[in-house]
Amino acid sequence: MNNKSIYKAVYIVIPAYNEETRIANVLDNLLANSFSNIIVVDDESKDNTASLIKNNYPNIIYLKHFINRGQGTALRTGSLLAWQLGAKYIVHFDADGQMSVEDIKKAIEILENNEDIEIILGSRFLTNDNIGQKSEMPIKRRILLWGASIFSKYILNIDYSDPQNGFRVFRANILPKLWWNNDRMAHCSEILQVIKKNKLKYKEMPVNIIYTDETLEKGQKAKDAFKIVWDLFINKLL
Amino acid sequence: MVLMQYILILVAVLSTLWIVYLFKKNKIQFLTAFFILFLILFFLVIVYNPDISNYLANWFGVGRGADFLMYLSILFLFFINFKLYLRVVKLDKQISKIVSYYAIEEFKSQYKNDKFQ
Repeated sequence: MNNKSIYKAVYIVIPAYNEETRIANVLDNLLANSFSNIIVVDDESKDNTASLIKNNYPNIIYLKHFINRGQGTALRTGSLLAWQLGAKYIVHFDADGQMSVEDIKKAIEILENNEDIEIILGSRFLTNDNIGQKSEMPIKRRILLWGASIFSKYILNIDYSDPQNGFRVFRANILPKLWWNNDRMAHCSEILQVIKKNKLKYKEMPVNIIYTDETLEKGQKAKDAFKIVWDLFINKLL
Repeated sequence: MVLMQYILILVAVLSTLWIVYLFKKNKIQFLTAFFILFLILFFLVIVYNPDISNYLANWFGVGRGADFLMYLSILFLFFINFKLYLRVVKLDKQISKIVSYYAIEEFKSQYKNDKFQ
């Protein structure tokens, strides 16, 4: 089976919130690389994200949240539809152009060649082992993510090199086992907890994340760490 | 007993009847009803014999009975507040489910995708 036919079974889920200036490049890049099954979940954007996609990308699946529910819910909505549409692999991908299409290809190749691996998790901290390259990131972001990693390891008891990385590729059939409940940023850590709890077979893969001032402005801040911890705690009580 | 004690006892009796009514109508769980009735009983005992609050305050090392009751009230209000917060979070998650479901159903109805026929 060649790559193009494999890519037909790949569904890329992109949560989008006010991404009109960035998402077009991401979509063009994906389409140019033969990824035609793209699900954009618009989390009630206030800008022209909706019209941009509807007018310029008629073949892309556009889902609209009529109330903003956060990235976790947007990924859940998109993943559920991908699963219903018969996806073999589901990719979680950012709308801001930080993630690389090449990393999707590498992850799919790993899953295709390793039946025992169920999910690939992106990591900005792993060094090159011939399947990816270590990301260049600003020192402030590096310290923040390093802190998150230490916290996850010793408090949440989940030992991954980059617990706040949103890049993941998984076999669609594990979606019911992977189901996460957190609506917002805490979904990243929760997914890792679920992977551990349900003993899903994972592999961490170095990914290339491209930072710009714009994406750093929109990305996670140090104070978000408290919100994530609180949300994870509350989720346990429900 | 002074007039205020009669009023507070009446409030406690009405509250008890209300809780029993809610429990009979299945609007609250057994544990919740039991917990609230226990609090009302505690409240009744203190109203009937306020010196007990002083005794309890001394036992806990608080000092005055009135202070002890105030601290207890703060704890109780915090508990109620937290319970309400959890309920709000639960509702929030239910809203997410509805929003998610609606987005998918809207797509299905708009595109009439073959796979959904």
